[in-house]
Amino acid sequence: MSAPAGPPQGGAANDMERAQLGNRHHPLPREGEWRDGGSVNPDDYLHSEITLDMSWDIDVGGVMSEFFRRLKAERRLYGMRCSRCARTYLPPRPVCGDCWQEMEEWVALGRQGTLVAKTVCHYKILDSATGEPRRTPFVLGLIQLDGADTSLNHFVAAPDPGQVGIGDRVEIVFRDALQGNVGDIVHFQWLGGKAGAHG
Amino acid sequence: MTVSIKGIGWQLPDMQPSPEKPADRSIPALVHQAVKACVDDARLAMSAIDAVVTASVDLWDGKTASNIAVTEAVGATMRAETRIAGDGLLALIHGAMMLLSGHYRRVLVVAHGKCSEADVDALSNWSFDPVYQQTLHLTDTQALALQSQAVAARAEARWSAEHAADFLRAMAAGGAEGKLAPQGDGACAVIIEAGDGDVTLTGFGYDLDAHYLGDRCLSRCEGLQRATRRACRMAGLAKPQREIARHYWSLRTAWQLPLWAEAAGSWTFAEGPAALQDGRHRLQWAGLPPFAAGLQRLIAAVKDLRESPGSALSLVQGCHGAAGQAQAVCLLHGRGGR
Amino acid sequence: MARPVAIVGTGQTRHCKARPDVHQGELVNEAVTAALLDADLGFEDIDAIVLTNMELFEGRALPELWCGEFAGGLGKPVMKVATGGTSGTSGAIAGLIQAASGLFDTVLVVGWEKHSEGSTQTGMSLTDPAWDRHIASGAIGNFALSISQYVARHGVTPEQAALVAVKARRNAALNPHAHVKDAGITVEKVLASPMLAEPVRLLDMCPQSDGACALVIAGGDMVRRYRHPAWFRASATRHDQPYIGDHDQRLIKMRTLRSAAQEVYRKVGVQNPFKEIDVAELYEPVSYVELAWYEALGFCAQGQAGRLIESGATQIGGELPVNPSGGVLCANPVGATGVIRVAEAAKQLHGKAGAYQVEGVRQALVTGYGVYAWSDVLFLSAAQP
Repeated sequence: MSAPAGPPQGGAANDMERAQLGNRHHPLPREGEWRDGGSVNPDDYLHSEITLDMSWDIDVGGVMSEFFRRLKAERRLYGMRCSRCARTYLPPRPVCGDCWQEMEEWVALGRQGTLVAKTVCHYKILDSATGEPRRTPFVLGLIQLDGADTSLNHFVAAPDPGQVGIGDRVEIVFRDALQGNVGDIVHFQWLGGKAGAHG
Repeated sequence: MTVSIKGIGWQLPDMQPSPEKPADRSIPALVHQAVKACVDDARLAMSAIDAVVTASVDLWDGKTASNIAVTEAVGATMRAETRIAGDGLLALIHGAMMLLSGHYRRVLVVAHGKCSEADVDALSNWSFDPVYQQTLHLTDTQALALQSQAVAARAEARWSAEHAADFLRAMAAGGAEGKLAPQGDGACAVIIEAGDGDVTLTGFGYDLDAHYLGDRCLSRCEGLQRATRRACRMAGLAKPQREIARHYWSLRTAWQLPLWAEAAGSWTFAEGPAALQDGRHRLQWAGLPPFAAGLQRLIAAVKDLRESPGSALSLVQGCHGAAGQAQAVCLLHGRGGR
Repeated sequence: MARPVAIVGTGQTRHCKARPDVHQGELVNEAVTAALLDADLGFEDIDAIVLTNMELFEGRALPELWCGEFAGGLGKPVMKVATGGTSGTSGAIAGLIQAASGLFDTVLVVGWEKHSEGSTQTGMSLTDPAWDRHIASGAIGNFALSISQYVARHGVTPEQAALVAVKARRNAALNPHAHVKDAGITVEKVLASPMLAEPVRLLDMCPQSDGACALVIAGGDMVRRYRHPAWFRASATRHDQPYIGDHDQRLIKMRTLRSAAQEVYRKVGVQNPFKEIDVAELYEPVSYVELAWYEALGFCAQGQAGRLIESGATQIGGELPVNPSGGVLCANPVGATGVIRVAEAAKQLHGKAGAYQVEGVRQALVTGYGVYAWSDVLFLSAAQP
């Protein structure tokens, strides 16, 4: 059964009471009648489920298209450098925001980088590659690849998440058969402590 | 205090890049090209801009907080930016209020929209209320069809079926082919400044009409009536029909032309369809991007005002929402020549 | 020059996990009616409306077309502002600017969100198509990354962050509108709560709420009717580049917040924010960042935020109470959250904050946060500009 879903009529039950609240105004719930999560029984109200099932065929643009083309051809990430401030951006983008300047220079980045930030996540997210929940805990990091001035957020693979530290070195792991999209980057492999040595 | 149009720039489907250069039609690229053209037209540096107002709609772009994609392209890095969800003309109106408030001196307004990346008509179903109209599978196309039918019925009753058909034929001959104006991908940008200039914004108004189609009389447009009244009052116009020389309409259907013209007080059914073809009513049929149409019409008006000698008052209209539920009007005055 | 405008009324719903008894329009209507009652006005007194909402969280498009009527917007000038988390503060600034333009004597601003109706995860997943969508790690992971640097470089401890959460939830117990409240919360409870993304625990994080909040803004002669208007003095906004890693220690250094705050302080003549500001409502989605933002806002020197929270100075009754309402940690309907910050600061100036009223408030600071490091800063005061 469902009660009619209308605006809360709490306070004024009749015209007299309405007038007391000021008859220009819509009656408000009285103190104690304000609705919040605890005071409402969800079963009293109708519920309508609608599913948004939409797809977009988005133009990723000239810069990202070239980025993925180079990734696939050379198994390497490229950043873009601003000719004015000399910052090398990863991900690349057409305009340096600080300088408001179009960028044209591609810079080959190293396959290794430094972890500048790191967190171990204990909540579930879906692995977009498999569609399955990612195993927890998993390590998320900000990786500054050699040659880049910005860092990239991505997953870090390590045998023991607790051992991974800021400042450690990581190496990019691509999937075997490159397709030219962001899924080509599987994760960054932890290379061990600050010295870069394993174990 | 006055508001003047300092610069205009746009990137639309009719500007096809050369075959040698790969077409970069991503939203950030379209927007950046429009903004660059605008900044160049204004003969300014980006550093002269105090704030940016953008117009875009998340679901159409397929992007949460759709202005994230254009932050760098519009120069909003370490700068004030705000996004109005709706037609770009509303963003321009808000930008004008920013100038009139005295808190800002120069504002960049940018609008963008694409129809090629998704089925935008299907998306429009999600802009109808979820309790009733959405569940009827209403979309913009159907709302426009209902509106067209209503206006056509009025036209046939006032004139005759033959004259109504003549009107449609004249529209088609003038380039308005087909029942629904085909939209395009694109971006446009305008810089407005506090102070006098060759083209000034003398008045503006906007309005939100009823959401339920059945609550509106679709053969008339009260929302545009109110928006126009507000704009004319602000501009101090006593007799808009006589004082406004040119009108720039945002049309999705041919029947919106008499609908908008009547609502704005610029034409009556008694004058007949021929009066709509006398050059005072300007339209661009094909290629207007969703949510950037109104701003593009304003750009067209500015171009004409810059080029035409003598001063002229122009009305620009933009809208969004089912069959133009939300309306915006700007009145522009030109000093003539540049 | 700018026409003086002030916030003369506020209203909000009781924020909570779910409101199955109302649809979005009715939720908006509750907040609007409360605000109109607070300002002793009717719908017909409102000249223009600004709505704010992050529609994709409910899976909608242009919901203001439907909900605008519920704010009394039929036949009125209505606009919707949407800028991610800063939507509410952006919307408030937009409303204040529109009133200051002289075109409208009264402007209503209303923000709302009904997280219970959609999938926030999905709503946030429509991010950068080439890159971020693949990671989809959500806000928590991204906050934790910056926070890990804060901890590593400046030695901020989980106990210090927990003090922020304790302050918030205890303050919220005094606020009838707050969603998450716990008068009995302790640092131990926070440290015992489940770890989400190290070092951020469940009780360090803000909730997702259903709720709406409205402001009534007045300019010109209208303001004279009110005894304690909250005058708008200045605002500043900064947006920034779109990827989390574009700047080091992004959410800690907050170049946007620093720059916006400096602009506001300069405009209003504040030289010592800690001494001169009487109350602050900050948009703090995670406990740790409130500490970082004490430093960014100049409440204390770099690296001293831990000491500041430990001193109790940001408690109600302290020298600079921060988030006496409970803040974002206690209620977070995203489209409304920024409006709530402004409303709570205005209420302090109106003298209407009830059990969490700070004594002698003359100057209030408000911040908004969203996306990666977008910042809004507003300054309200009891003194007419």
